[in-house]
Amino acid sequence: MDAQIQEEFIQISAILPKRIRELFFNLPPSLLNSLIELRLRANGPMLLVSPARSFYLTVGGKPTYMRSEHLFCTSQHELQDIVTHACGYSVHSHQEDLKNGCLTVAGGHRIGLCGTAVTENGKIIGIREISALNIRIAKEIPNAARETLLLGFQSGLQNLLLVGAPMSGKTTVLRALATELANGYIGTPVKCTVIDERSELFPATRFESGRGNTLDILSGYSKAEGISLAVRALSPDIIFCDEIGSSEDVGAIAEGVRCGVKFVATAHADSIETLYARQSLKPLFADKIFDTVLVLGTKEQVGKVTGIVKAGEQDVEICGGSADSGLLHLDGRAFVRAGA
Amino acid sequence: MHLSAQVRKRVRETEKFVRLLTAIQTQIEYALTPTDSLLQKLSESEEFQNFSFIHLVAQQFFNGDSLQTAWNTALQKYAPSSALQSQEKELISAFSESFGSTDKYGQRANCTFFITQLEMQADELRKTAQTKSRLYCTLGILSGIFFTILLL
Repeated sequence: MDAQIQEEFIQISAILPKRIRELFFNLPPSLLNSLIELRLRANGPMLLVSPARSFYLTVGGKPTYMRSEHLFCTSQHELQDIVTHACGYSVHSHQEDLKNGCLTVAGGHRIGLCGTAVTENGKIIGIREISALNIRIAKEIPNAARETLLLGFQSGLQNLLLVGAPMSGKTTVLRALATELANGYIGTPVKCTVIDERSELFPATRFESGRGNTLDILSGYSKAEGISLAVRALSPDIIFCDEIGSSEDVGAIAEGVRCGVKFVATAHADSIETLYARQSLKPLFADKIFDTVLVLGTKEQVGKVTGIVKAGEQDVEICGGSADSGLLHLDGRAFVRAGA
Repeated sequence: MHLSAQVRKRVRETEKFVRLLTAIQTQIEYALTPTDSLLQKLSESEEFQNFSFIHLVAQQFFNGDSLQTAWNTALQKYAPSSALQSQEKELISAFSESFGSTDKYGQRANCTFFITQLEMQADELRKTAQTKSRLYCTLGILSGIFFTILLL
């Protein structure tokens, strides 16, 4: 078993009940290496997801693709235990995360929560009766940002938006970009600030090597607050934000760009069309905030650029590897997508 | 007199736990302090630095035990050298069932409930200590008188 697997596995297994942990210890290392997600269901079978294929475990811990009555199942009590453990036995300190349905544990691994919302005055204040957990395993991929760097930063810093469906590697590429730019990819070290709202981009104790001395991490700050603080106090050349989506995020980025700071951000969307359809992000394109939009692929194409849109001076541009070509008219602007 | 001193010691130790739970409640309610920092802070605080129970909890917890296991193991190790009896031990142990596993309001309710229960227990013990103290004093005087009469 190589070192990286061990580290990831130890981090993940530390929050799992002993019964589940023991099953994992018996899996072949190559199988563990390929896992990207663990999907646990209250009183249902546990699904292990790898890019190639998903599989279950039998009661005896053997991998199987077939659903049967002899699959290893997890109880609701075990799911609750995992959540409590993942909160460091401090559920009171993680109310905001629970409210948002997502916890980040040591190593940057993300746990998505499924359950019944607890509401007060029409607002969600927590979650109860947890019915499913989705544990996403964070992986450090060497050279994850190579293609993005070539496409986005060959001629210096610019505002770049990375878009992709869930599990397209946005966070991994963003992390690698921040590290590369801080280490002087464009010829000189760049002052980078990362707004790490959920402490998953650069969690404590991980991804520490080779960060460079010009990488500042604001952990636990909301994007809007972090951007404002960074611009005021840290004089960054470029700010990195993961998963922008709210109007507050958009407003803060627009304000930051007007202050002369460059931005690299990620957003959920599986294509340029769906990206532009997202109401809250529209002001970014209307104000021409981003110079380049890169679309990342999924499955076998995880972390790879499958489409590019560049906003030129004449509201037009280029190129990329998207499946079909054509002219897009969005917010009064024309974008050309080159064919494959 | 020894029995009365034992009860007084029991009262003092119960009160110590009341103060501990109060400190936990304050940290959670006003600062949402995570459990690891909370245990660290309490262990290092002036008030609890000589209170071996909280050091034992911290030690067990940082060694990887769940919070409930850490708390109960610490109680088992601490109890033999203390004057605590089963009533207090049960209350202290029951506190750990919800400790760290609910939101701020749940933690407040948990702390408040067990602080009240332990305070009531301390009150009971105080009354017992007083009664016993008076009883032993009266018995002492009567014995004295009795022996004096015998000698005369």
